[in-house]
Amino acid sequence: MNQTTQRGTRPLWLTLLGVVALAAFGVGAYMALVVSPPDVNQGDLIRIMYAHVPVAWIGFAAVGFSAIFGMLYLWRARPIDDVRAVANADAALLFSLLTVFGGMLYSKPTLNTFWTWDAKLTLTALMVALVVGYYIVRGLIDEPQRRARVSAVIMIVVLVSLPFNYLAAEWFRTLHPAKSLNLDGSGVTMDPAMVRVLLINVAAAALIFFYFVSERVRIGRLALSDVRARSGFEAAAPAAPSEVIHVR
Amino acid sequence: MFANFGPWQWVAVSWGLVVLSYALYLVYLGRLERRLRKGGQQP
Repeated sequence: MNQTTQRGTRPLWLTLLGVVALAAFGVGAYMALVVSPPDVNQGDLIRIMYAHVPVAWIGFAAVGFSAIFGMLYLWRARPIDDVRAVANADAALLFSLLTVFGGMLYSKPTLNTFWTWDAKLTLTALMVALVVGYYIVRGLIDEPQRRARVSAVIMIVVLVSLPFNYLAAEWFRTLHPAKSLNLDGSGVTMDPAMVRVLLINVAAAALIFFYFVSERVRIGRLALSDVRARSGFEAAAPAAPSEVIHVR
Repeated sequence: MFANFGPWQWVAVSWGLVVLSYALYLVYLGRLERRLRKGGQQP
């Protein structure tokens, strides 16, 4: 089989996933902007919630996946786990930045302020800062195994901060609204029609997340295959300086 | 700048931010792939 023509080519399933994700996003946007009823208090501003909440949830999930692949790298030292960790870290950065800036755009018309340094918002800003730090640290370390190990530990620290972020709206005084959907099943304080629209948008954001991560892993593999083609690099073996894998 | 915004303008800006971010990330991925195929390093 010709490796040159096959190398890094986008598989059909990935193209289809992209099309499905785009279609799901379109359906979600239509449901949010047209079908959803206005809120009794917020009016049409509730339509911002359908953009804000899904990216926040997916941002949390991306941190979790990145930390899991970081742990796998720490366990078995396979470069592909680092590629997968970085792909999910990309998504974590994208979705958490969208969470912060989208949240500011939601907060201004509803709470009359873009930002306040309360526990929930500060923890979210800290999460973004730590993910940015993840990339700064990767940029500072040349040795690939050490870079992967250190960045894995950073993402595990970000993961540890997530439960505090999730529960901050209950534990501390904050401008951020309390949860309307409780994951422990204790109750839903949202109209069923709105829950339906929200879950459709969460599904659409999840599809987009899986597409972005899969595409990023495919591209990240190009660097690995390059190095292996040049040097016969084996996964667990320490790389010589000329064989470094640059996956930042 | 935002003083005279109505609800639908806030909605448009919020959803526009999401669409723009997704589009910019896809552009970044395309540039990254081109760079790697030319033999460069990941940023």
